[in-house]
Amino acid sequence: MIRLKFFIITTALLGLFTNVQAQSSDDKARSGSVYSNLGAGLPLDYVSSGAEGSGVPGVSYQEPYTSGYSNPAHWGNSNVTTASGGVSLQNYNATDNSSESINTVVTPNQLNLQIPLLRNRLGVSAGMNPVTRSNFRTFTNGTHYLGSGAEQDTLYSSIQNSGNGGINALELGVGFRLTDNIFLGYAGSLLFSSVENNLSAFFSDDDYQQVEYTQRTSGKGFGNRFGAHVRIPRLFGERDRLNLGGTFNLPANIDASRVQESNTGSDVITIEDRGDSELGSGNIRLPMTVSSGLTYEASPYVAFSTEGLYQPWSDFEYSFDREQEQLMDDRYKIGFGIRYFPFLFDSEQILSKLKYRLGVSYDTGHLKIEDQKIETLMFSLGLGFLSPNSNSSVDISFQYGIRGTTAENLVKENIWGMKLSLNLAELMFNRPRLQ
Amino acid sequence: MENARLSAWKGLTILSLLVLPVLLSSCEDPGSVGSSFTQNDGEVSIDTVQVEGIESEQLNSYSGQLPFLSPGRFDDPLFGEVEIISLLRPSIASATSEDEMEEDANMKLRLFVNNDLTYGDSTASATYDLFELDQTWRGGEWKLSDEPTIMENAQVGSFSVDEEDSIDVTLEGDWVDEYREFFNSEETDKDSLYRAQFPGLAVVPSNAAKLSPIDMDSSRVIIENEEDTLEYTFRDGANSLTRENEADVPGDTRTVHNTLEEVLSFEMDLTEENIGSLDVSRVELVFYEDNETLSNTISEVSGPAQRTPYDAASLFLAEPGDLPSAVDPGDPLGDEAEYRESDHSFRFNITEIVKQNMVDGIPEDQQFYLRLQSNDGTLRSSLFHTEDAPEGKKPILIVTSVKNENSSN
Repeated sequence: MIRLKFFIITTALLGLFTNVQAQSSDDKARSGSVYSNLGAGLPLDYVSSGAEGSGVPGVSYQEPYTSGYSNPAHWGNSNVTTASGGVSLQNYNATDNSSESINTVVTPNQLNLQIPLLRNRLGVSAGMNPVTRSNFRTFTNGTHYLGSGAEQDTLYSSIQNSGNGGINALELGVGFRLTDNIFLGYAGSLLFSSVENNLSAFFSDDDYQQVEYTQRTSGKGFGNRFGAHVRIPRLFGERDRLNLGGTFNLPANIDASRVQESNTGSDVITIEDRGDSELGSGNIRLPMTVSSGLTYEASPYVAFSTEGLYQPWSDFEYSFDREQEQLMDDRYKIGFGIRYFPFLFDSEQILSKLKYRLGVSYDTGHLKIEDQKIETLMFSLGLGFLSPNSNSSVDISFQYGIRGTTAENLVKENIWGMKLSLNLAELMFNRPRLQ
Repeated sequence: MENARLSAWKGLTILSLLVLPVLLSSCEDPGSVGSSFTQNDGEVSIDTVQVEGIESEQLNSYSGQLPFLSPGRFDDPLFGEVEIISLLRPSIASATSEDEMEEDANMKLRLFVNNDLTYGDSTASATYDLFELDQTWRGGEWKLSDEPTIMENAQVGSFSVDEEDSIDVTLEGDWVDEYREFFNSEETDKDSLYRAQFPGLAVVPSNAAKLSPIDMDSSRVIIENEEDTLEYTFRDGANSLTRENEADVPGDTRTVHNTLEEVLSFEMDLTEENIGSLDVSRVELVFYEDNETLSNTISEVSGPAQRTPYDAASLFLAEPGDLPSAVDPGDPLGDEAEYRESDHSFRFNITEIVKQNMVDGIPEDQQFYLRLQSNDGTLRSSLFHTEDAPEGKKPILIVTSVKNENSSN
């Protein structure tokens, strides 16, 4: 009966988010940060489900019964098969020096499956993870003067520029235990780039037809990342532990192509290549990523983490728009987080059955426009809800952050977000496959 | 313990139900925020493209069974000495009709003149003689330059047109008797015989004052019997035009007549390379009238003379071998262009034809033709500037499009 209630409630939650996701297919709920228009989109970090809400990706600690895909080394220390997936809902309140806009976007997060081949010694992982994301919608208004003298007429135009898509990684990896407290891991991925930019121009005069065209950028490449995790138990006491972790992503090249499809009303004309244009074949080179940090577990109940990330986006290559390459700058990110797991006390209090996470992060961003870094300060709070009769959980986190600046007529965004991750470690997942 | 976890799950559900609507309730209100660094993805561009290679094409069009007959003579300082002789054939009673034209019946033509369309001095008195024709003819086959054979010794009537809009013309002579025979005939094929054998009338101007457009839909044949009066329409009509001593027009202009004596022909490269973008919102073809020359020359005429006004022009795409039927009536490209008085221009919206041809271009064996107004039996003439005209008067394409880095230029 309890399993049935768990199933019903989980289904209701997924249904609720699916409903939200369905709304996202409408143009009215598809746009996110205006900064995601540039380059390959905004970079997303590999964040473990167990780290949601703690302000750090989680490369330096592994939470039992949750998919820890931020660090491949963690896959060598799992004892049950786990699966996870999730969605994000984010609301952007953007302002510049003269106007304000509100955008909402719902996007799927990672999808991950981890299988221990040798319990706590060797494990493999498969997953689909977003690497960059582009979701934006902006309007540009224009005034045009037709003719001259007494015959001069005024034409008003509005251009809607929208885009969605990004780079995703289909990843396979392995992690293993080198010594009792040292774990190493590797993941190779097939990177897919699929970005669609739409332009629609509207005019104040009915004699002027609406103009629509779409640019599609697609391509694929390969990615490689390595991870290491070192545990130092009993550092200051009998039950504490220090965790050191780090990952390294090699630069990745995506062999891509861009076409433009113009809708003439009666036909769709596709341009695949053209001289000096932005169409045709090109290369997207993602920079390497170095991520590392440490987590001090004062006890099984309380842990403190600090992790940092470095991406030299000045090495970014984007042959479809060389000017946008110049907007990229090296990115640094640092985060601090606390997790508190009162459920381990076996208390009967409802609030003691949850996992709590709290964190803050500062991100210099990968953009530098008009000599202004597009920085992000993000606060987050996470709650983990355990299944009544298994180790599965739903982890939900809330974020509030500030990105950008209104200096130089740039955009400052107030971001409200909510992420939902479903972590399954039961039913068919509750037994180790090979012993 | 499990009950407490289940309660926590219920709490999660309630929390989600509360928080999600709050986030969603903020809705979307996307604005111009961020457009300062996204505008390079596409900009509205308004460009002009020259139209070149404009020539005159002289056609001999059909001039029968049109809404107007425009008999008259006028010496236009620019477009020459124009004379139109109109051909008329009244209707007769059908074989099944009980109408009869009595032997001593009076026969009249009631002609309605549209003075707004007069070509010449509308206040002058134009005089006309009606003669019997010495040939059979069919309006549907008569061409503007065809010359009628007139029996000048067989005058049937005469009339003059001043400023009135209706004239009754009494007909008399042998021609009326011949007409009465056909009218009263009881032969079942009388209509065919009438068209094949009865020559009708020629309306011949006897002075050079003006061309008076006769509205063929309104005009009637009146037969006044002793007891009753019969009204009939006209069975057929046609115009026959001669034009002499035309003045040399300015070198940067071409003459255009609605009678198709001259139409403009030209080629346009409507490919994306020439237009500048695949993503067009509107393409307008603009021709300018040489209003200065038109005004100066008509003012040379003594008296309040005018040329028949026009307010539209049509554009066609056709193979030369299909002329003149391809432009009369033809299948115009879109709506006709209305005359814009303020800058003396005609503006054709050719957006659709550009969109349809911007990939493959216009077929080589086709060209564009511009016709003034419609060939309706009136005589309307104009001068259009060519590519040799000064800036601001040259024919151009005004292309409103969205361009980006991938546009052709």
